[in-house]
Amino acid sequence: MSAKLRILVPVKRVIDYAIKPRVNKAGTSVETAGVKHSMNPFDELSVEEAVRIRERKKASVDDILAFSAGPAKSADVLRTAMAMGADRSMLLEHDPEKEGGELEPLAVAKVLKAIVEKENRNLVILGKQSIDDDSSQTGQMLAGLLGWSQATQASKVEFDGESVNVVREVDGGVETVKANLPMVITTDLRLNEPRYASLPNIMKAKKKEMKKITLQELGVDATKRLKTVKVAEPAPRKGGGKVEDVDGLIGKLKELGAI
Amino acid sequence: MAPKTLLLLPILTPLTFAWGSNQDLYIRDAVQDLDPYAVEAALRRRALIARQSQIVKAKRNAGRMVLSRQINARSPKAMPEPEPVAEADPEDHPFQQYDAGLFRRDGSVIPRDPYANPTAEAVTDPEAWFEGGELHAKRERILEAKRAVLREKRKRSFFAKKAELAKREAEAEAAANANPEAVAEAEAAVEAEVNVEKRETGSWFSWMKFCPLSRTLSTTPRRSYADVVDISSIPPTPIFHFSETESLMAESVSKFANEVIAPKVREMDEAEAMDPTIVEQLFEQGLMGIEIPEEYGGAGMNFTAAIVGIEELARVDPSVSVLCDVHNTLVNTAILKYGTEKSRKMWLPKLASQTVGSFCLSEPVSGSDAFALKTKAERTSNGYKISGSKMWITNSMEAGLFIVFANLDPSKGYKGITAFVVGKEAKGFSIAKKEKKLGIRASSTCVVNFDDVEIDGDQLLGKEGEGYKYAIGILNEGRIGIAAQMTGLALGTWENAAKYVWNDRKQFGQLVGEFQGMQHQLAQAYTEIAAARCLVYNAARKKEAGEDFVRDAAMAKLYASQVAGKVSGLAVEWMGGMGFVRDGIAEKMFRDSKIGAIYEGTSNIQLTTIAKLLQKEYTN
Ligand SMILES: Cc1cc2nc3c(=O)[nH]c(=O)nc-3n(C[C@H](O)[C@H](O)[C@H](O)COP(=O)(O)OP(=O)(O)OC[C@H]3O[C@@H](n4cnc5c(N)ncnc54)[C@H](O)[C@@H]3O)c2cc1C
Repeated sequence: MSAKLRILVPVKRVIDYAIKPRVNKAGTSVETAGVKHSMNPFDELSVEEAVRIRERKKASVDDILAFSAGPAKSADVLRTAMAMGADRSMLLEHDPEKEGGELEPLAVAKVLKAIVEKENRNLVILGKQSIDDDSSQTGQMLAGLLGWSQATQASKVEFDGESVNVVREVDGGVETVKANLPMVITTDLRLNEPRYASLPNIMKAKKKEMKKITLQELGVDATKRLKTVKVAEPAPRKGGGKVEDVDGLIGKLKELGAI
Repeated sequence: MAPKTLLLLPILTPLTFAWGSNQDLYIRDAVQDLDPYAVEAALRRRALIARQSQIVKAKRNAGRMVLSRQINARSPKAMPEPEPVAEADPEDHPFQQYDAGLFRRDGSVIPRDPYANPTAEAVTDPEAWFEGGELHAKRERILEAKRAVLREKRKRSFFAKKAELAKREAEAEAAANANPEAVAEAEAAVEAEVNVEKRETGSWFSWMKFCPLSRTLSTTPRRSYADVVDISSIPPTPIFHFSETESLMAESVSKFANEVIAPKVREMDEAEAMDPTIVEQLFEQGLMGIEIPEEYGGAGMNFTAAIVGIEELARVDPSVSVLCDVHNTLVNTAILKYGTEKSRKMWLPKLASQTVGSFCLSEPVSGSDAFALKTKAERTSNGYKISGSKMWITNSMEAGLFIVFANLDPSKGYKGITAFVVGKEAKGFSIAKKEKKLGIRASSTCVVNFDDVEIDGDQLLGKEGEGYKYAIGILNEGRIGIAAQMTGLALGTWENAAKYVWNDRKQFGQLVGEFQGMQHQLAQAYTEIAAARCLVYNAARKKEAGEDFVRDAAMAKLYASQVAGKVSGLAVEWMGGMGFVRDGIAEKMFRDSKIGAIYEGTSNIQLTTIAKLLQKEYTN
C-alpha cells in the first residue's frame, strides 16, 4: 500500500450553473446580488473523486480537507463538501464587495500553497476551472509554485502504488499521464457523477470542523495585479434556425453560400 | 399527570441578551435544528459577546470620565458633558479593540472617540499609556481563564437544570400513578365531552378540538427531549428563515428531484406505477427516515425538514412526494411516537433503510367518519387476529409494513380502536384491488384485505384502545405534510408555466408573458402560493415549538389545496395548447391537485375543524 493520502479539495461558491449571468449596472462585473449560488460544478467532481478514492480503497486516505476562499456565505459550499464526504474544512473569508474584487488566480494558488504546507497535504484535486471567471489557471499555478507534478483535465484517476495514472481527454483522443505523489490533479466533466448529499450525511456534516483562517495567518500577499477595465454583455445572438438532420444542415449551408 | 409545561424544554439558561445581531440567527438555527447543545452553545456565545461589549463600554465610560476630569482641571471653562456613547455592537469583538487600542498601565483601555482624545492625555502623562502588547497578552490570558470558569459554571448549571427537570417529571408521574382515580376522572370528563360532540356531529374529526387536551392525556409522548423546543426567548425571524441544515437539505432534495425523478415523471404517470429504482433512491438519500433518530438509522432531522423535503419532491412529482409523506409523517411518526422501545428497535431501522410503510385507517364504510371502521381484532393466545378490509391505502403496492387500525372491542365504540403493525408477508394479508385514479397515478392506492391475519403480541402499537388518539394525533401533523405537497405542486406548476410564457412562447410578436393580462395573473397566483406557504411553515414551526397547531394545520391544508387547484388550472390555461397536451407536466399537476381536497380529511372536514375551534374560542 502506498503512502497515506492527505487530500486538499479547494471549492468555490459561484453563481449556479443553471442561472443566466447578467452584467451589473456599473459594467464592472457579473451581478451576484440576489442570485442563486452553489458549488462550482467542477469542484463537485473534485470532492466526489476524493471521496471515491477513499471508497475504492486502492489508496488509503487519511484525511480530506475542503477549503474555500470567498464571502462568508462560502460556508454553504463547505458544508455541502462535508456532507458529500470531506472530513473537515477551512474557510478564508474574503468579501469581494469589501476588498475590491475577488482573489486573483495567482493569489488563490499562493493561498493553496500555504495551506498545503501548513496542513501537510500530498494531493490536491481542483476543478479545471470555475464557471464564473473561466480562468483555468489556479491548478497549474499551484503545481508550479509547489514544484509538484500536475495532471490537468482528468477524466479518470487510478492509483498504482506510489504513482497515479491520469487519463485526460485531448483533441486527438485520450492521453494517459503518470506521475508520482505529491501532485496536483484538475478535474474534467466526465471524471465522475457527483453524489447528492444524503440527509444523514447533511446531519453529520453539521458536526464536522470548519476552521476560519486569514490571509495574514497564511502570510500571503494578495495584492491585485490585474485590472478589470470593463464587463459587457455579449451581443445578442441573432435567431438561428433548426434543421432536422445532416442533409438538412448541408442543404442550409449551401443555401447560405457557406459551402 | 405531568403538566404541559414539562413538555417544553427549559434548556435556556437565564442570561442577558443583546438582540438583533447575527448571534440571534445562530440561536434560531440551533433551535430549528432541535439541537439543545447547539442552542446552549449559541446562547452562551451571545451572552459572552454581550458581556464583553459591556466591559468595553464600562471602560470607555470610565476613561471618558477620567479624561474629562483632567481636562476640566486644566481648563477654567467647564467642558460640556460627554454625549452618551452609542450602543456598542455586540458583534464587535472587544479584543479587536484591544489590539488596535491604547492601554493604560492599569490595563484599562484608553477610548478612541472624539470626546476623549487619547493624545491629550498622552501629552500630559506620557507614562500613562502605551501601545497594546505584552499587557494585552496578559489580559487575554486572565480573561480566558475567567471565561473558562464561566463556561464551566454554565455547563454545570445546565446539567443541574436537566437533572432537576427529570426529577420533577418523575415526581409528577409518580404522583399520577399514585392517584389513578384523579387521572381516570380527568379522562372521563374529556370522554363525556367527546361523546356529546359525537352525538352532535357524528364525525370524529370534530373531536380534534380536544387535541390540546389529549396532549395532557399523553397522546403526545415524552419522547426524546429534542421533540419540542422552547422558543419563548428567541427573537422572531421571517417564517421562511430556514436553518443551515434545512437549506442544505432543500438544495440537495431539489437537485435529486430535478435530475433523477423529473425524467421519469411522465412515464410513471402513464404506467400508473412507481419506478422501484426511485423508491430505492429515496431510501439511499435518507428521505425515508427524515425524523427517525440516528440511533435507529435515520437522519435525525426535525419536523420542518420533513416538510421541506415533501415540498421539494412535490415541485417535481406529487406522487413521489406522497409516498415519502405517508411513510414519514404517518408511519414513521406512529412508531416513533407511540411504539415501545422494543417496537421502535424492531421497525424503525427497516423503515429508514428498505421497507416502505402504509397507514390503513379508511374503509369502504368509513371515510370522513373514520372511527366507524368495521375491521375487527381479537385477542389470541399469543397475540391478535385481525379481520376486515381497508380501502384507498396509499403505498400499499410498495409497502412491507402496514399500520392497521382495528376495533378490539366494538362494544366500547371508538374506545375499542387499537393500532397494530402488520407485515406484508403475514398469512391472510392480500392486496385486493389497485385503484385507477384521476391524479397522483404513480402512487399506488389499493384495497387491502385482512383475512384472519394472526400477529404476535408485540405487533400491538402502543396500548389497546388508544388507537383513536394515535390516529387523531398523527393526522393532525400529517395534514401539514399534505399541505406542503400542495404548495410544492403549486410552485412547481407555476414555475413551469412562468418559464414557458417568459422565455419560449411568442404571439403577436412578443412573449406571451409580456401581456399585462398574463402578468397580473402570474403575480396574483404567486402571491397566493406565498400565502399558503406561510400557513404551512407557520403550522410546522408551531408544531415544533409544542404549541397548539391543530387549527393552523387544518387551515394550511385547506388553503394550500385550494391554491394548488386554482394555480394548476390557470397554469394549463397560460400554456394554451401546450398546457393541455400530455407532453409536459401542466395537465398532470392539474389532475394531481384534486387529491389535496380529499385525503387526510376533506376540505369540508377541515372547515368543520377550523370552525369548531373558532367557535370554542369565541363562545363565552
Ligand atoms: C388517492 C387516495 C389515497 C388515500 N390514502 C389513504 C391512506 O393511505 N390511508 C387511509 O386510511 N385513507 C386513505 N385515503 C382515504 C381518504 O382519507 C378518504 O377518502 C377521505 O377521508 C374521505 O373519505 P371518503 O372518501 O369516504 O369521503 P366521504 O366521507 O364519503 O365524503 C364525501 C363528501 O361528503 C363530505 N362530508 C362527509 N362528512 C361530512 C361532514 N361531517 N360535514 C360536511 N361534509 C361532509 C365530504 O367533505 C365529501 O365532500 C385515500 C384516499 C384517496 C382518494
